[in-house]
Amino acid sequence: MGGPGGVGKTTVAAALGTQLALEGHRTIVLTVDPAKRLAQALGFKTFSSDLQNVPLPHTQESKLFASMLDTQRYFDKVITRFAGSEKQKDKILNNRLYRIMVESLGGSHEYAAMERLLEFAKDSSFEKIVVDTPPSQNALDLLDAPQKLANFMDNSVLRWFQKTKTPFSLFRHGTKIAIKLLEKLFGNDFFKALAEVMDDLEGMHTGFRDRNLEVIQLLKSQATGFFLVTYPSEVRFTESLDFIKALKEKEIPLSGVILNRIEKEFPKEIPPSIELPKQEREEIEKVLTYRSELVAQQQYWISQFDSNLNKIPQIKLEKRSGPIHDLETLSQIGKKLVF
Amino acid sequence: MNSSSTHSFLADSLKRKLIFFTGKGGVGKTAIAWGTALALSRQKRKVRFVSWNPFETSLEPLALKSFGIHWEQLDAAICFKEYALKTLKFEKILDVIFENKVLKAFIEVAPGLSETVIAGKVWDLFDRGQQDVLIVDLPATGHALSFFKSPMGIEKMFATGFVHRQAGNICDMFMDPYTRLDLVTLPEEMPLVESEQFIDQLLKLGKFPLGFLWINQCTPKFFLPTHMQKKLPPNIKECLEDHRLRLEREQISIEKAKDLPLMMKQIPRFTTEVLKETIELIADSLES
Repeated sequence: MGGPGGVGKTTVAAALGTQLALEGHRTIVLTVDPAKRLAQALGFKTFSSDLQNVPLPHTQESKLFASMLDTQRYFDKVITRFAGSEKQKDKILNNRLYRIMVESLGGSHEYAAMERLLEFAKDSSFEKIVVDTPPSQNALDLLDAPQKLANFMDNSVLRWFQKTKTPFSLFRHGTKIAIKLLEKLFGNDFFKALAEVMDDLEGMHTGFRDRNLEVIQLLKSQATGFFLVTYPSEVRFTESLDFIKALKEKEIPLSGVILNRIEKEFPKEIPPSIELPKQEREEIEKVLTYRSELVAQQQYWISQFDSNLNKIPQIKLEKRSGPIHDLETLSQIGKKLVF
Repeated sequence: MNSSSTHSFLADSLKRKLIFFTGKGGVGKTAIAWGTALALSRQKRKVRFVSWNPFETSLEPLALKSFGIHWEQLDAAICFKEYALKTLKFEKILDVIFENKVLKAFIEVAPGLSETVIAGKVWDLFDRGQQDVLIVDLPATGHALSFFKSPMGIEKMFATGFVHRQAGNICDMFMDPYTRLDLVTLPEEMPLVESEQFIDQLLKLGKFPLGFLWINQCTPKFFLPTHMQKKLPPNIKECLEDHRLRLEREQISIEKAKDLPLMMKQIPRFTTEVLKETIELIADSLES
């Protein structure tokens, strides 16, 4: 599930997961969202562990699982997997720079998320994996992450960072200047630390690269479906088209578009045959007018989606004014998604 | 929770030099930021608007033109180049460097570098002070948190060098008494819980100057006479009931947010979906 923020993507992901589990598939809903929205959607306050069984009504053994990503742990796990020796692993995990990079800076969620996804995909005990991605700009980062990391792990780039081993004079002119610039910007101390990390990561890069190629393959495979969850408005429409275009460029097929929170249509006015005091009629009609304006506004953008998505399947979900955090309601929504 | 009125909103905004806007994706953060910019510009303030939000670019330039507000879109790679050029005077060989594959890969992948470079650009504009007020439209909360976190991480990570000093300046700017950080959200449970989490995480980082919590797209409250409703056809009854339910649910969510350490500002949902008109309606509501 991908798409812009604030369109109920997490609820849709939770609904699909719930319904798949109720139909007997061992299902996991995986969230890559640092905000804890999936826990809310499934009705619990926090995830107690990284893999949690979600109880379903009228079932003894629930087949629904949920998982929220813990960046720190999975990044460490990746390092642990690819490190050649225990000593190398400890050295990396205790490196000051590495710690700060993972703990306090942005951008590492995506790498860890993809790693986690691959782990579940390889785990044959799960039949279905529903991934709730962060809002669109992040989701694209997410799709870019494997490629970016693969580029970074590229031999020639790595070699450049291993200054300690390469005589400076062997660098090409441009690279020498680039090193000087970076040293001036970041200080020599930083560069030593970075060279150390990169040195330690040597030998691991083949592992990283292979792993990332696997992720890319998984995303493009027949077993993967990418759904865009969106909403009929001008901003969302424009974003959605950008998003579809970006997917196309990455050669990731779009399986369907889910238009969420469609307003229900009501009468625009009270039939004249009904007798009501003038003031009350006007008050009630203000509500009817407001609601029909909302409908009209959406209808226009629904038609825009219709004419721009010619062959892509669409699913339209109605807006609900009541709470939707119970599994019954989630399953009702889910039924519209499983077909 | 402090109570707020239109007066205190304008009075507060008029004395600020820098206002950050963030919020969960799709809550109308950009519209509120522009609405504030327009309201201040109508008060004869010289406003400069910068956004760092690669996915919402297509609509802004149109709005911008008719508003006459100086606007620019920030890009990490361009800002980095600009910064290096100005600070280090590497002019002659710059292109060689920036075309360098290694450097490109580094900028792309180094966690937190883009955020810090963007924050550095904001600091530069803030420091030069060519405007009365600088309005910064940040990406959604998750990324905005990285934006505030990264310069702090960088300050720790690099013990010396330009970047270390620069990061210190940026952190000072965040905490400046003339800076304000506003959060935009919706009157719904999930966005409000997320806002709460964002504020928690942010306050763990430092004493950020939190300003307004904007509750956007509130359902308009209409007077609904209940005793007459039995005369109405079922579908109209259903509509009124649905509307009542919507308002009730919103009210419960809003009540919960009243304990947050921000001033609350409710903006009604407008039924025009053309961004420019929405911005004008928001600005109107801030003035009247």
